[in-house]
Amino acid sequence: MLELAGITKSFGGQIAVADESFTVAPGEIMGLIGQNGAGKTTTFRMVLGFIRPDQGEVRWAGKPIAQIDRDIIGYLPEERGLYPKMTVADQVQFFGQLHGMSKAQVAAALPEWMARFEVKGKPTDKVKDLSKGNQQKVQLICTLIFQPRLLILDEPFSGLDPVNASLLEDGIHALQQSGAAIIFSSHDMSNVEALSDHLVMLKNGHTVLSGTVAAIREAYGRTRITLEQPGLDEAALRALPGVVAVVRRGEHYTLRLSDPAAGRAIFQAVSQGGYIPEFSQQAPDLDEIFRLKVGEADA
Amino acid sequence: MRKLNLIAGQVLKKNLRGYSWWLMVLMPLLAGVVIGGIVWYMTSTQAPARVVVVAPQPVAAALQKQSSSEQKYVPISSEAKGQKQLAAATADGMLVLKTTAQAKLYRRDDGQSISTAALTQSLAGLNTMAVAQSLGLSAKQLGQLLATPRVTTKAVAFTDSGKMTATAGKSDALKQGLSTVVGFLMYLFLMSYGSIIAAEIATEKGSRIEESILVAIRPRTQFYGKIMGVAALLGIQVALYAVMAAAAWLLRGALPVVKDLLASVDFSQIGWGFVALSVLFFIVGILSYTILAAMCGSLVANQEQAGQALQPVLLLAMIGYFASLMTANANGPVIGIISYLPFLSPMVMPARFGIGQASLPLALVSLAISIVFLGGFTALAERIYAANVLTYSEGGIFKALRKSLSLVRAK
Repeated sequence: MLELAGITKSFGGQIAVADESFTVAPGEIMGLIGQNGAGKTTTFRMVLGFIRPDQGEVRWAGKPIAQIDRDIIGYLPEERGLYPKMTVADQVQFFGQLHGMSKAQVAAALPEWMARFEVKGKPTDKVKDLSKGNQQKVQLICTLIFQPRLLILDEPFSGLDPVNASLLEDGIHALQQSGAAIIFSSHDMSNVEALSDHLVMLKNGHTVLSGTVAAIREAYGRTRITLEQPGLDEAALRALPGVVAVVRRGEHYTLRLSDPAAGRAIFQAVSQGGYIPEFSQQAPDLDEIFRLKVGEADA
Repeated sequence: MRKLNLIAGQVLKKNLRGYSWWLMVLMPLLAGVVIGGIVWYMTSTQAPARVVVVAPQPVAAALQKQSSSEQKYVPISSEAKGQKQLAAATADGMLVLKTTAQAKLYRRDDGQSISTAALTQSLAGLNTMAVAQSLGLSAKQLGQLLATPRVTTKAVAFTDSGKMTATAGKSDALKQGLSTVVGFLMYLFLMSYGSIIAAEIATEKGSRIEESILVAIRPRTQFYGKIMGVAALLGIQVALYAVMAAAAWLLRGALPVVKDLLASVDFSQIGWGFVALSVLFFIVGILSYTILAAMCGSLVANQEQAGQALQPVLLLAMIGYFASLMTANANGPVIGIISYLPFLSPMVMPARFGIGQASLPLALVSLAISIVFLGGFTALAERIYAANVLTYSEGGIFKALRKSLSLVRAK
């Protein structure tokens, strides 16, 4: 299990991460979210042992991270980088062997990984001759081929189209099933919502949200109603008790409530005892919570 | 150890597969082949100057025997025939002799050049023999008359008490040659290895591949792995040169060019001590500059700044190179001090030793200083490398160095 216990780091008097704590158990996926400069990469660098926390400790299986066998860690940096003049096979061999695999093991596993990520190219192709998307897949293979027990992915979905993002999601889930502890960061909340067992949100280095996605959403209450073809117009919807805002998109309306309990009365009012195609009362989605948190004044 | 070997192997493989390293290794050989080829082409395509000789038969025959690869003497019967050959451009000159003491040379403006020095020397020899004959001298007396005095040179130095001792002084031409060759080769190789390592680190840093690598290994392992890789390349280079030298030695009988080249160098004047010392300084020098270049490479943010990383390396190497060039003509205290300074001594001390300015014990002291310094400098460079390799500063190399020195001190 990965454990961050009250880690703090500052650079030249500026706090990058303050008293951050979380755990990621084997087989768990944790999403780390926050605006640019919130402290996500600094957190990753401390987990990776690139920088030491000023306070607190990072532990893996109870041991300080500096003392563990580094072969088990897989890391995909935000800014991608490979040796452009090297062949795909040589590149993957290098990273595979660097993490303890034998030459034969890498050679045997490579075709399967290239097929899994649908890489368009041969192992003998030079990396610079592949498209950007395929280069990104090769880097992912370099990160995953040795089956890391602790996997850190910094913005893994950036630059990937929906099809390739889905292939990556499958790869992450496969590794999760094999018992790896996984942390990833993303600006795309739909990825975070789809993948994370739990998440941590940082704002200016401080943890402002922590928990499972469902629990975080529930904590905000079911204050969102989406409607299709209600029996009332926009002005009438806005005048309903408990409604604080209405947004219309064609035949669809989104109502923001001050109190989730108002939902029952609103359902009666908009359906008027008859049929409407859609009525859904939910907690705000992660994207909205993110915006809310970013917009909040610092504590 | 496995990871150290992997990084070293990676450096080795990348360079052995690329052309830059091979070009550097083969450069001296290629330069030798090209220069030798040009000289060979010029000499082989140039026909000897043809000089027709109008002279009494014994003189003409004697002169004909003195023909060389540069000048060929052909006896003819009259000046008229000679003029005809000059007009037809079948002769480059016509030599008309009444006696061996009086000669007239007619030469075509557009003909091959005729060495009047060689001609005069040949005629002087013939004239001496003619005079000796007329005076009735025997062959032995003639030999005594023509004997050239032998001058042997011994370089000496004086101790503080004024005692004269012989030194290993070399001829001036060899002095100059040794200084130039040793200095230039050191400069060429250390710049090349410096560029290789600085560019590699700057590229890895700039492309952020460094972060992926340093997940699995510690910066110091990577640093020493790279140095080990370069050391292995250096070993291969020295071994290749040894093989080439052995091949040239074995093939000297079959290849006249090699034989002539070997014959033109007085190896007894160079000595094995000089060769061994040069190789040791070469290894220490290249490693010192490689470590300096690795350290400087870690101070820049990307590949575009690799040139900036090489500036201190270039500066030091240039001082050493110019000092080595001046060694033969300047045996003052400045060159003396420079020959003991790390980074500079590998270029200057072999040249000083080679030309007899410094004795073997002094050269070994200089080598020992360089080796001890190399040990300490490597430890410092490794710490600076570790502090910088994942730091991206745009403030310039010296600012980054100052920052990392304060980080190293703080640890």
